[in-house]
Order: sequence, then structure tokens, then C-alpha cells
Amino acid sequence: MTGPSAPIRVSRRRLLVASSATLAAGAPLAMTACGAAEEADTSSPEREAELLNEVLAGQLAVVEALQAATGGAPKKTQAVILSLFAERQKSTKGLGALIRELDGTPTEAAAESIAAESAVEAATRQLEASIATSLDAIGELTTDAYRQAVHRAITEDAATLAALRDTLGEDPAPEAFVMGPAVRPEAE
Amino acid sequence: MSPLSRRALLGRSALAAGAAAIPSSLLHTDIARAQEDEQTDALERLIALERAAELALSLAAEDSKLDVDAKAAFEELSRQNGEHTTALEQALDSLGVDPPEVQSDQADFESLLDLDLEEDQQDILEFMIGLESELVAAYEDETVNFNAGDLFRTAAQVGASHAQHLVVHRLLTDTPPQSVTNLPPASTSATASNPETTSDEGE
Repeated sequence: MTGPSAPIRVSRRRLLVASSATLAAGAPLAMTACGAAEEADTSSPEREAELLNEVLAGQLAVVEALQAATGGAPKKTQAVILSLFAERQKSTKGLGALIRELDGTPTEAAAESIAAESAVEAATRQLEASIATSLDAIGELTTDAYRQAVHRAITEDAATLAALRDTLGEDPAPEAFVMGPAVRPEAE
Repeated sequence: MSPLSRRALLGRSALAAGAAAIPSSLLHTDIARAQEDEQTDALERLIALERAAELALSLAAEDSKLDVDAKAAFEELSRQNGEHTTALEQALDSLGVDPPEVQSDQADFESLLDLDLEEDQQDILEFMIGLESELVAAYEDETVNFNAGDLFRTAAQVGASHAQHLVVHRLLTDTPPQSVTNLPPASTSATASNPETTSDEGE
């Protein structure tokens, strides 16, 4: 705070004028038209279970990668890793329960592991892959509870991804739409 | 699949009853109105939050005493919020509903009336952390109101973006909390059957 006097508030008029200016700058189209009509419901319990299993396999791979990264990581990085590690241990059990509710069998096989120069970098790339898999699945899920659980997992993965990218000296939030793997200029 | 809203059903019902007597130009308007449901309400709420966050960041980047890193981050995150807004507006438009005009509702910016641009960087960051936490929770809440796969995916991509913004703001604070990645719980949860997926803010 600047002192005992009342803070200088932002006037409504200034807020509105500045908002017009910033919006006028525009932004690239980042979303395909979702269509006026609702999409046909082609879901089945089997398909929902299959989609959740794809998410689960990605999460199991993240758990393995995080486990491998805890050893040599600096203390600050370890705290970030352990936080998601604990969350993913719980959420994989939760996903397994949802799959069983659908009369499915939870997979025990993790998605393909990603190699990198360090364990922390490998965990970072595994998170990116997990996000991409979950984004594919969430577009097809039709049950609110399942969709919200996967949405939650994507945001948790994204937060941890940002923190790990920071420890690797990368931009923690390089793009407006989290896709999983970031578009890296040097890779083009 | 979420059921159609009562409002949307009533709109469609009226449309069917009067279709024979109504000129086609008016029919088009009625169709657009019929699609104003939970989905479009959710998009409008998110647009208002995005506009407020974009504005707060741009004002702070311009007028507050921020260090070089924070200023650059605010400018970038404000730009990203602008992209979110554009995508949501286009989604609303594709559903046949005009996006709310920027100056149509001053209440959209109520959340910014406590923003004091003369406060120090730490306090500004705390304000932004509050805004981003609200956005993360809002996207998680509203995903149950969408009916289209593209919207589920976009809501997740943007909600995830705000989770990353939250981390960026925390990393810029003087003493980043150890739980830098903790997310706020959704205010309404459809995940009752999966309570283990929630975590506390813990700050």
C-alpha cells in the first residue's frame, strides 16, 4: 500500500476506454467454429471408459516420470514434483474408479515414456504429452463428472508444466492456448 | 449430455407454434434467441472475466511500478487474455448470439474497482493471483454447461492457460509459495464421484 490515504481507484470510464483500446488490437483466430447445433450424442459407456483409460495411461506415465525426476532435482523443483505426484496418485485411483463404474477395466499400462537429457526435462515432456492426450479425450467425453475430472487434471498438469519449464529456463506460459507440447521457435 | 435449458426449450416451442405466420427474417432472430441457454450464458460470463483480467494486466503494465520481468509478463499475459476473449466471442457468434458489447455492462468490471495501480508490485501480484484463481475456477465450473466437443476442449486449453498464468504471478512474488502450483477448487463440482481429484488452495 502507498500510505494511510485512500487508494487511487481506477475510474469506470478509464476501465471502459482502456478495454476498448486493448480489444481493438484483436487476436488471431484460435478456435474452430463450434457450430450452432449441438453435436450428435454418439457416446456409450464403453467409449467413455476407453477415453478415460487413455487419460489414465497418460497420467500413469506422468507418475513414473515424476518419480524418476525427484531424485536429483533441486529442492524447489522437488516440491513442485511431489505436489503433482501426490495429486496424480490420487487421481489415477479416482479415474480407475470411474472406469469401473462404467464396467471397464482400468489400464495398468502407462503411455510410452519420453526420453530427454534430464529426468526433469523428461517429466516436463511427459506432462505435455499427457495434456495433449487429455485434450483429445475431453472433446469426446459427454458425462459432466468425467469431463470435469479430466478438465481438472489438464489444469493441474498445466500448472506443474509451467513451474517445471521455469526451472528449465523455459517460458512457463508461452502460448494462450495450452496444447500440450509448446510451439518452440528453435524447433521450426 | 447436458439437457437443453428451459429457456431454450420455450424458445423452440414458440418458434414451432408460430412458424407458419412469421417472416423468415424474424424466424432467424428467434432461432438465435432459442440458442441463448446455459452454454451462451457461460460464454458471456467467461468473456466478462477475460476482459476484466486483460484490462487489469494492461493497466498495471502501463501505470504500476513493476520491475522489468513483471512488466513483460503482464504485457504477455494480457495479450493472451485478449486471444481468449476473441475465441470465446467467436464461439458465441457461431452459436447465433451476438457477443456482449465491450461497454454494455459496467458491472463486468466491478472486480477491478479494488485494483489500486499505485500499490507496490507485491500487492498488484496478489490482486492478479486472485483474478487468475477466479478464472481457473470459472472455466472448471462452466465446462459442464457446454454441449460441443470443441467448447470442452477450448475451455480446458484456456483454463489450463490461466493455471499457468497463476504460476507465473506466484513465481514473480517476493517469496513464491512452496505450493506454487496449487489450484483453487471449483465452486460447483460435478466430480462428486471423484472427490480425490480436488486440491486446496492452501495459501
